[in-house]
Amino acid sequence: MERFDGAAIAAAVEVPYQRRATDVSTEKLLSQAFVAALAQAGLSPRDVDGLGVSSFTLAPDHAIDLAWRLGLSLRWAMDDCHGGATGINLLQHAVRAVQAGDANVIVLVAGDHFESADFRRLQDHYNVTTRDHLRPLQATPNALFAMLTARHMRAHGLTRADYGALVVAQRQWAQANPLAVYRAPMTLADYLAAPMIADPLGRFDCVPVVSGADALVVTAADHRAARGRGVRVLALRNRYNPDQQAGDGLVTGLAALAGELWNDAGLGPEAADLVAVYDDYPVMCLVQLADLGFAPDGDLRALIHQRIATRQLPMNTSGGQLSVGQAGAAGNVHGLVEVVTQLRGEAGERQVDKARVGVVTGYGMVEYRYGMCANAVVLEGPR
Amino acid sequence: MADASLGAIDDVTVLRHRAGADDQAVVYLATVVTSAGPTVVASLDAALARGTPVELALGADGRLSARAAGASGS
Repeated sequence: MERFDGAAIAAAVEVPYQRRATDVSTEKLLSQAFVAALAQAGLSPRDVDGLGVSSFTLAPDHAIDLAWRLGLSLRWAMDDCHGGATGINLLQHAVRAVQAGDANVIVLVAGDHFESADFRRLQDHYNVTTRDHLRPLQATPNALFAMLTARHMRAHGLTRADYGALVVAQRQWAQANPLAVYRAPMTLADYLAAPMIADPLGRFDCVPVVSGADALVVTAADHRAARGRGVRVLALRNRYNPDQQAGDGLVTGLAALAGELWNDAGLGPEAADLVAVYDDYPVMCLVQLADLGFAPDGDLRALIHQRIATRQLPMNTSGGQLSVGQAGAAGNVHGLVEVVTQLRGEAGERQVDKARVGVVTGYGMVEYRYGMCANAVVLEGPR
Repeated sequence: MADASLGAIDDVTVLRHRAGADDQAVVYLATVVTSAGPTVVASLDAALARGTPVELALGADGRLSARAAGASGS
């Protein structure tokens, strides 16, 4: 069953992200996102019979505990722990559940509240491999992706300024997004002058940690909440642990699923009016775009300077996580929220003209040297 | 059988900042392609050039360190 007919995204919201948020909790952020999503869809909690949750900091609670706190009686519940790939994974399961009649209205929420100590704990205990083999080295994700970026620079003949052009382009989009945490103008000189975090990565190559939450509502396509403004899934594919961590990290699972994805969608990358690429680091934007066929000639410098920087290919139009911030498990849902918002024509000053088809990618769950999870979805806006 | 305690430096980074850490001392890290095939992440005492042959040692604390092959040390 490759087709995703019969279900639609009826709402997509983001609780404003905050740096160093106080007087808030993960549960409160997820609840705020839940309430805002229902308000946008014109639904009440009584309409909800499915709940999917992803969070690094909700523990020891799970989806069922959040359901109790929200007063929900459910037919479908799901916890997801796929990091940067969590939103698309949740979306796949929710759409299938609606198609199968297991639920009628599913709310997907993801987010985290981080204190400084929370984030350090997450980094040190991300999984057993991290705890046992990376923590003793003090090897953070920034260090791992610094070495990956160095490999990528060598493989493609890129310089720090090339990655910087991508980061600056995203900051320009962020300036038109009132929800972006970092909106101050940034030049390439600013990027290059920023303190180094892990050579060759500087401060602006590393996602700023924030607190926040995002939510989606998935319903039947003919549900009153989706009628006339539902966003449809044309294709969605996942690939997990494609190479047993034995590669160089410069190819993700997207390379293996790209053919199936575009075939399912009945179109190719040239049809995408915008893309939201999981941007934990600029290098991963380029890797994922190449994997999905956005640079068929392999010329990544041209992709950056002639397509992304010029907005010929609108990428991460919210500003992406590099400017909006990374709210833990919300990161992948953030991309979905932005593309749904664009496809509905509700993106305000940053609206992409005539946006009809959007692509969102997910990437994450570093096991040892790079991420193991990758997925992508092709979305189509209301006609 | 290849010796997994031998390898060559692939990439190196100098980690200068760790979010939430009290100790911000500079940390040298490398990916090392072992003679046995797998690539591992190891700490260094100082930056080494790509391709440098190294010996690997696993400390009691789980810390894998790489040192230039043949280098004397304590």
